[in-house]
Amino acid sequence: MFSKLWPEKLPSPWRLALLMVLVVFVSILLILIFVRIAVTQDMRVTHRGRISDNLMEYAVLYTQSDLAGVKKVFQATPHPISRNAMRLTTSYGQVIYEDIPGYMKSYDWPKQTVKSLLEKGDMDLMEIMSSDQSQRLYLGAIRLWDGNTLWLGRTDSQARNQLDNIERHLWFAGLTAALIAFLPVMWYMNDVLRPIHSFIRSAERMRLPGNNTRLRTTGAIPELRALASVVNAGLDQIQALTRELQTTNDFLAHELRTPLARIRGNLEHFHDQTDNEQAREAAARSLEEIDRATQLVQTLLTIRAGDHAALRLHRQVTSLDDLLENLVELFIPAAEDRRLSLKLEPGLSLTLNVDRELLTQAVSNLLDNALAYTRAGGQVVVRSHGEGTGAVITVDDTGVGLHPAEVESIWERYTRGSAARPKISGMGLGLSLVRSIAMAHGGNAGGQNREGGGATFWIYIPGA
Amino acid sequence: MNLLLVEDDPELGRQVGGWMNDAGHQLWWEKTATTAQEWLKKNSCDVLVLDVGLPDTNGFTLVEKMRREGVNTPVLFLTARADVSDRVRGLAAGGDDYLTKPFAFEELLARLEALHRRVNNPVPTHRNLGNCRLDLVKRRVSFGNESVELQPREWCLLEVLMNHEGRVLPKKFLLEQVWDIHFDPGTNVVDAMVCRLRRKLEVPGCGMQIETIRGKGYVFKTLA
Repeated sequence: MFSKLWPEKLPSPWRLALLMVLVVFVSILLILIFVRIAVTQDMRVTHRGRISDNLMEYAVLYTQSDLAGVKKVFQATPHPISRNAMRLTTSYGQVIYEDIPGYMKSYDWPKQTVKSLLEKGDMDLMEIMSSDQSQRLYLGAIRLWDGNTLWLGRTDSQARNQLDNIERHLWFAGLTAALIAFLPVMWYMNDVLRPIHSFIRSAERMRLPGNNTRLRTTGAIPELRALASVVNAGLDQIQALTRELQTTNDFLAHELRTPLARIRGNLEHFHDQTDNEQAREAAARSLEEIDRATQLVQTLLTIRAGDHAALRLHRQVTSLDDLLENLVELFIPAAEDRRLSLKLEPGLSLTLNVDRELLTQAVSNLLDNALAYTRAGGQVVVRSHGEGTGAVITVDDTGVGLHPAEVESIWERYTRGSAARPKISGMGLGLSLVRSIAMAHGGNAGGQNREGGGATFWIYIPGA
Repeated sequence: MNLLLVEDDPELGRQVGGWMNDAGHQLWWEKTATTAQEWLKKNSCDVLVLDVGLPDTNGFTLVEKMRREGVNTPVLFLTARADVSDRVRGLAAGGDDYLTKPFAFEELLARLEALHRRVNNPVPTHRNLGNCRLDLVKRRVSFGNESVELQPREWCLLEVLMNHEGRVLPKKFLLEQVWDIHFDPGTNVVDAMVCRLRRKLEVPGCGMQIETIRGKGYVFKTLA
């Protein structure tokens, strides 16, 4: 039952408030119990003292002016809350005179005292409960000079009123204290919870590439500030590394492309000038290789940057349908040459904020693979559907499919599936580039076999 | 054409200089942004070929400065930086075209001629080649009374090839101009498309021909 009151998802301010209420409530209750015990004890002593004082006074009065004097004084005494009761009996308990207010008659007045009163001035004090009265009757008896016994009774109603009064004040004080007890809750919400929420929001923004948000700690407690500064220092370090990687990438690109350009220039000149048919053929092949090497350098640098979240994305609002339509249109003649059917299945029109060129390259790599590994007469279908604010693009083929052991390993660099035939050229970089691009957008890519043969590859791009 | 090349790599500078002379263009060569600025104060050229990574000033900055001073000479960036962001930056700075290293000489020439033409020549409305008529406004090809159905991309490809008649255009250049794709998509997509276009235009008496040159690209030729 307790676990129901304390569910896992209960927000911490509620937990704290619930605890505070419990603590305050229990402390008020304990204070009330102890105060009641203490006050009741005190009151009892006071009552007994008063009654014995009164009995002595009345005994003196009786000695001086008999019953008439006692009666006169008794009736003249003001009784602010409850009247006292008086009775005069013989030593055998026979009533000579009594003046008892109605509500006190219901108590069972004893005929004899508990203690026997032998000498003049002997006193006995008793407490009597009644079945139909909630109050307690304090009773005292004294032996007078003539052997008669004078009884005085009073209820504890006044004491009860006082006790009620004290309890009322205690409740008031307790509830005020409870309100003050909510100050820690407020402090907790402002100095602990608010910074934590701001951390969460910042951390969410950090997932986006190219974002240099840091944890902000205005008004947070020192421990959280220490945490934030440690995390921020780590983030600064990562950012510095990322920047360094970008710079070295630029440098590498430059250092590799410039010599390639020099070689290509000379080779092209040679190709154009030579009259030797074989030499020209060799030069043509070399030119193709240089172009392939250039593309490889670019691909490697893109993957390297993508792996370390250092890929600079040039995001643009892009219609996914247009992008896919253009790509499919580009591949259709090549697919028809291979006697394959390539189709774009129309879906809902989606708009994404992506690096158009990189996403085009990723999808084109999937299409390139699908065309390469599907036999003549097969079918390649491109689909897209929305997922949250993002989208999933899938390329299905009816090709040879994936070897179950290779479903993950084909995404690694330089790994080619066992289905790769030697005549299909490639470095095994295509799929790792696809994944790098998807991940640079905060998404992912994957692939699996389809029921009934063939493979399906997907790219997930979240909304940005 | 009068050209100014700003390039700090001596080998590339020499090569471009040789080619341009062979092609019959006049080329001046400066090695730093500062000397190029001085040259531009005294002289003028039809197109400026500018390397981005210069030893003194960044090529982008130089163009920004030129444009602020009101110099409208077309600028082609010749650079090793292939990122989209760099390309966007270059065009935003006021550049007119962008070519990444390594490059094919004929592609450079084709781009320079296109830049020069854009400034100087009005676009013709139609061309007659043999018994074939190309309507450049309605984007239609007809042989006598028969017209050939061309897909928009096929027309686009034909137009690019035709605009650079006689120049061997690399696959990369065609992908950029026709499909706006700046990488090699692997599969022989361009080859397949060129073959298809070639088949459609294979009509007796047609005055044009698209040739494939191994290792270099495709060339559009008119049969006179």
